[in-house]
Amino acid sequence: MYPVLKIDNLQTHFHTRTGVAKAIDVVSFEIGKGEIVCVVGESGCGKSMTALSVLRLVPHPGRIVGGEIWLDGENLMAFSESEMRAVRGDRVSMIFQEPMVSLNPAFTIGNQLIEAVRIHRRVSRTEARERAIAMLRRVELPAPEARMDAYPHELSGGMRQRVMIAEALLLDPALLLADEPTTALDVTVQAQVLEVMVRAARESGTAIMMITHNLAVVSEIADRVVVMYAGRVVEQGTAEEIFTRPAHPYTRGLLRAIPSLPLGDDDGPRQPLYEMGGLVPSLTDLPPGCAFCPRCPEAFAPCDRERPPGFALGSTHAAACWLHRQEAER
Amino acid sequence: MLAYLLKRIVLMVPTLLLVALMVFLLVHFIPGDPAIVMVGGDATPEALEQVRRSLGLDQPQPVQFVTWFGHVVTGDLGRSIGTGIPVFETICERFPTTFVLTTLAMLFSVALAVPSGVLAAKFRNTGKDYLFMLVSLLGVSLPGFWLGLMALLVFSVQLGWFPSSGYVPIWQDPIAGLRYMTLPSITLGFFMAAVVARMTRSSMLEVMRLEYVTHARAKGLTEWSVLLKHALKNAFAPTLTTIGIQYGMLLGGAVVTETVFGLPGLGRFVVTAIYSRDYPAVQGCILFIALVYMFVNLAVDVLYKAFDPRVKY
Repeated sequence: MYPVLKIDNLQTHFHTRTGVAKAIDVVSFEIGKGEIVCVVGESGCGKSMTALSVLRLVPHPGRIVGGEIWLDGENLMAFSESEMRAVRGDRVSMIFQEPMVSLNPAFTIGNQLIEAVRIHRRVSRTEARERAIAMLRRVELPAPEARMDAYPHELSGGMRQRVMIAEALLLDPALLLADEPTTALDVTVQAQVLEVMVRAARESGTAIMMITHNLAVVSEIADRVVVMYAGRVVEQGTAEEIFTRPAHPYTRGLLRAIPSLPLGDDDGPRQPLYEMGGLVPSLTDLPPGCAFCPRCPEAFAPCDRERPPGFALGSTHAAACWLHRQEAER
Repeated sequence: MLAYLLKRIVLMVPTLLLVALMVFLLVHFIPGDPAIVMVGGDATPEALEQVRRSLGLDQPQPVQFVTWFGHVVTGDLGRSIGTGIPVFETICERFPTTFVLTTLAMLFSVALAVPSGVLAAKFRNTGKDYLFMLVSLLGVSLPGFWLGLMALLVFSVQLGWFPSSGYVPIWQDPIAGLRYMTLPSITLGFFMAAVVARMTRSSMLEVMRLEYVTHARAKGLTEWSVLLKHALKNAFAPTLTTIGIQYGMLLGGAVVTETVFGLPGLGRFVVTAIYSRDYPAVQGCILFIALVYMFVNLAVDVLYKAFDPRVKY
């Protein structure tokens, strides 16, 4: 059986006047059927570009320059543009970060949802409308019939994101790409929206590639985690492996940088918030060795010269770090 | 909505008063004397004085203004000194021609400019885009009278496709009228098309960077549906404002076009009136054009909501 998504040595570069920016230097990972995989990392590490590459919608002047993207055993890189259009919105759909700007302000919710159905299914407007209303009900949008005639600006951020989720799952896609879907929302509605998204996706058997930098969200929903840094995958494993046995110094840094609230009566001494030193390297000028080497507290001999491959630490766990070479060889 | 319209119409009154004052001052600041134009340079001082008195020009200027504006408020724009016909009658007779000319020019320019702007945006920074923008640069830069003369020379004199002189009102004979109006409205519309195409291109480019355009692509729409449905409707709102402003400028630009093509429009009448210091005619016509412009602006603001539902009245 094929995985839903298999990204194999994907490379997406931006050819600019100042040089080639390697937004995705090289990335490989898989997502199984119905699985929730969280892709984490700092801004600009290539998370969103990975999602746009899967849809082959990398914005100009970016281009996929190498690698393969397999959807249910079919290589999307070999697809024509019209074959890709049949994939977008039907087999793979996407939710964006800012529900304020990802819905078109000039059209009603109903217009946009009905359009989403009718691009891919030969159904009447009434039928598409009923389908849309049923989906809005599934994502628990109050008064869905009335909302169909509303414009996006008449809805709150949380409601708009529910509409986006409804649209994305309208045609029971095999894969949902969710690019920080709750980051722009109020903390109070983040959890609700996330819960609705995960439940609706599970109901339709949709796998989720969830892009986030919020590790609390990851711990809540992820089956597996992919950690990215400067356009590369530095570590991947099950959620349990990543949270209990993080192998890459970058992953460890990320986990230590989560603020913890001193709760309860016994206010112990407050830990100062861990801060990772240094800056993300420029994507136009990546170091020859490990991209994290300049910031790494544990860097040693080969790190600044040789790029570490992914060392397997178990059947599901791998880290691209020289620290684990011997462990992996054993 | 109705309350908004009423408010806007009430607000036109002070604007009109200001326009009236400015027109009055400008016209009276031009050196020259309508009495001399009327009776000729070699008339006796007594004759001149008598004509001045009969026109009310012997009164102090503030009195003249109040008297004129008082009549305007009651709907009386006065009589033209040159023709002796009530100014309002002349406007009713001549404005339809100008209106048809500017409206055809506007339709032509929108039909040309919006597709060009969309295409230029789609092919941004390629040869096609540069070609479109070069043509529109020419459109902005070429003077209207030259373009009009060239159009006459090529399409009427050389090719004989259109009549080079004469005029039939379009409401009397639509086919013949349209033939007489084609070259003038294309000449007049070309300038506007250039400006509107540039505006369409830049607001399309603005909109195409936004996330909802990427979202529309991610739905599986074709690039043309993305551009023509999702991007253009949003990009059209600022373009609409430009069209409104340009329409007002067309009313002014019509003067040159009407002169070149010999059309009996209001613009040509105003120019003649200015030459002969025909105070009531100039003041009345310009006030009327200002009023038309204000209604065009109001129409644009009302239409805006159709393209941007976030607008509140």
